[in-house]
Amino acid sequence: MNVTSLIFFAATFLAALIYRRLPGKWKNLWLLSLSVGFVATWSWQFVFVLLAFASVNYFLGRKIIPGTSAASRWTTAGIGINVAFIFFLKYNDFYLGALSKWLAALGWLSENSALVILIPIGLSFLMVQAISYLLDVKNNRMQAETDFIKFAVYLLYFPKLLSGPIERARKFLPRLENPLPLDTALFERSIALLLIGLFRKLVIADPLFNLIPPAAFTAPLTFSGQELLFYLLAYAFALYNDFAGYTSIVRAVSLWFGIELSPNFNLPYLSRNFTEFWSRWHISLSNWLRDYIFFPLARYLLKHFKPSTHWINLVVPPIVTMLVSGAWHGLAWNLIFWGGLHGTYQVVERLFSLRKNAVPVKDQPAWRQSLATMTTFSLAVLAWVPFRMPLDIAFQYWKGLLIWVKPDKYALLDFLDGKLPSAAWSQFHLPSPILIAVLIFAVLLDILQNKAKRDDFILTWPRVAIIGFTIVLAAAALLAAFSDQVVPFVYQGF
Amino acid sequence: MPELSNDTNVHAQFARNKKSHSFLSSVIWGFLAFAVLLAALAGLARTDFITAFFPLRSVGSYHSQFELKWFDLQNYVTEHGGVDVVILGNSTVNTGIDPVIFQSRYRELSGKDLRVFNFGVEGLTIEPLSEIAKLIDATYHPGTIILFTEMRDYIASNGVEVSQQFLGNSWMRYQMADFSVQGFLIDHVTLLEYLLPFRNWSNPTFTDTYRLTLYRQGNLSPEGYEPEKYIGFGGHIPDPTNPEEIIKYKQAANYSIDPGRIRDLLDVISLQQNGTRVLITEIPLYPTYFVYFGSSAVREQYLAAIDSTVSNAGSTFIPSIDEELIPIYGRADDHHLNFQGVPIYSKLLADRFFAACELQSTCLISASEVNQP
Repeated sequence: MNVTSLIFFAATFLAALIYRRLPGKWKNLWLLSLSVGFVATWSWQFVFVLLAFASVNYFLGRKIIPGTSAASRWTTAGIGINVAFIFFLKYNDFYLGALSKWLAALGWLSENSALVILIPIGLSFLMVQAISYLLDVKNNRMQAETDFIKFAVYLLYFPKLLSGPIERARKFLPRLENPLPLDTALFERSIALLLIGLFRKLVIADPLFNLIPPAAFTAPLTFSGQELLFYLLAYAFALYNDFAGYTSIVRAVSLWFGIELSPNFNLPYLSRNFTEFWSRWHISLSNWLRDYIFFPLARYLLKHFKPSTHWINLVVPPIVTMLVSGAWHGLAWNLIFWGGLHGTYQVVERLFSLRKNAVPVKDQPAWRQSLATMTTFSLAVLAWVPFRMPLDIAFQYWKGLLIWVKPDKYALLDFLDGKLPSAAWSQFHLPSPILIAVLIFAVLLDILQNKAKRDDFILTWPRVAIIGFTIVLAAAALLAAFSDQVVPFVYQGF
Repeated sequence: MPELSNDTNVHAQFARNKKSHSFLSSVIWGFLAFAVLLAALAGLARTDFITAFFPLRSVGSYHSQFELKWFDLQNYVTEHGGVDVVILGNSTVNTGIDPVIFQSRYRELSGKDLRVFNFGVEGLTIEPLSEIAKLIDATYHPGTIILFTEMRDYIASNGVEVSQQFLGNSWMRYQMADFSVQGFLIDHVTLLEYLLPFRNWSNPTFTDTYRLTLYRQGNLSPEGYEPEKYIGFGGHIPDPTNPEEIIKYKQAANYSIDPGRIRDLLDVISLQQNGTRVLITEIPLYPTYFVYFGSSAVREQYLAAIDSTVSNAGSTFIPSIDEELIPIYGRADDHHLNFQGVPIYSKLLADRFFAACELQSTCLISASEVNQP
């Protein structure tokens, strides 16, 4: 079931009303039933896989008794099982082809057929949540959950199942005990988040993704530098609005159940350095990486390499953390490279921060902060190139960004005058005016959010602005309902 | 810089913000305003005034030329009170026949004044054309449908993707009695016809496609004829070593008539049960065109097969006029005529149909003749 569909909103709202009426002991069972039902709308086979996943982790959690020698073994085994699980299902192309051939050679599979594994939804998100749970139990940050239903809801809670936010069990489980009361303020906030999420998805992200010609990311050198620049900006804002939009929508529907999900984005393109960027982009994953990779690794290295400014302490934790982040997005060289690039950015920043007269960015004059924002934004956008395409194409893309082509002014004037009806806009090597307009919309939306300093910023708008916002959203939704171009959420694939 | 709180009671802090209006009521007002706007546009859609703002119409089909023809036919019927003869076919028909010249010549010969519309649509084979024939017959009840087919129509692999996309459209499916809410809405809400041309506004080629469709709409005559302006075709000798032509050779190799496509042809002919006369014919292609298909025997076998199929189904196959009668300057390529060839061919076509009327009693009949009790 698509989380932007009317049927999803209607069914979820109805389910939330029922949830509110149920006695406490039934609430979690209801949430689990809804989550199982949601999974079944994708594939009934996924239900068994995901329930098995939850059962295994529940069992492992119960086996971990902090402070005992067995705790480490069970935790290591648990992490190993979770990683193996994701490898087995998600990265099946490593072994499935060979296995198919082997089975065919044994006569157990016909010559022309191949084994296929359906990859359950939200797998990468489930894995990190399960691992954080096991580590938190082992490190005595929380007690193992004894109620299986409650634990299964933690892992499979449907609003966050597809693409997060990645929640910690120790914070999420208490919210199940005390759902927020559904009053006007909560409901208004949920509707505001919902509308903002839909706006980001339908008015900004989907159009921007669509407006990029597919060839731009497969044969970039057939485009001019100026076109590639705008396509890259479009991709950067599309990716951000797609994921931020998704998060906003699921946080909104979760509020109907009184369960606040963590924010995932906080105007990342306004960051002044990469440490700040990663505290604003995919926040729940960044925090996970920080708490379970960066900090433990940094602490370990600090014990062995003194002083704290030793180059190993400066270089290894950010590089390793970001490489893991790249690998989490997918086992492909371009994603590892993307992670490495972000790790390098952070290392360079750390080196700069060691200067004697270094001033924290927040204490710098406004113009330097603006310059820092622009530099961070530009480098982050350039890093999306290897995130989006294989490395060889990515290098071509970067090269193409430098080759600008001057449009034929006279032909362009004739074209604008309607004299060249069969000519295409692309032959003038200029980005589409619609793309530029949507980009302006995207920037404007972030400026308005920044001004209001809250994620449900439309709540503060005057009535006429809210009406205008709703009309634009409704028009976009109407056209999208009949469009031939459906764009799935990007992070649904991770 | 903004800071977001992770506090689970985050809503409580927002609850304290006092507003002069209710947010929810503003959202409801927004949706109401949108509904009122749609209602106003829906009212406007029933007047001619709307075309000033929304010049194109659509049923959500990816095939914009079909849509141009469909709404052009609707306008034609509104203006003339009906249509007597609909000429169906692919791009060769679209740019190959001027209904005004055909109509005038036929009137000259027979004294019969028929309302004729050209419904040639590029890229469509007999499969989608048979559905269009049924649709036109059910909607406008013409007296005669002239279906132009050619050898390529009956190659099983030809035009499959185009057909799938064309017939997969929800409005088209709805016409074919496959219900969907989307198809129902498009068919019943006139306003949607004017909004749907913008549905793919975020396609990278949207502005180009929109401009080109507008241009083609401007070029289309009220009777559905679109002149081809290209001149300079100097004849063509197929070359099996030319990489651009290899695909044509491949497609035509081992030519055989697909039974599924024959069923589509028979579907069109079956419209005669409603009283509509259905005649099958061919456009005069440049003589060397058939080289792709191999020996002349293949062509002869094809003609014989189609002729017998059509005759057995109770219709008439009227072979193409002699290709040599179209001067080379009247051709845009080896299968399309240009604006110089069309007047010649449209007259010759009228002559051919009049002769068929005289000799085979297969005259073109008007809508009123069909609908007479």
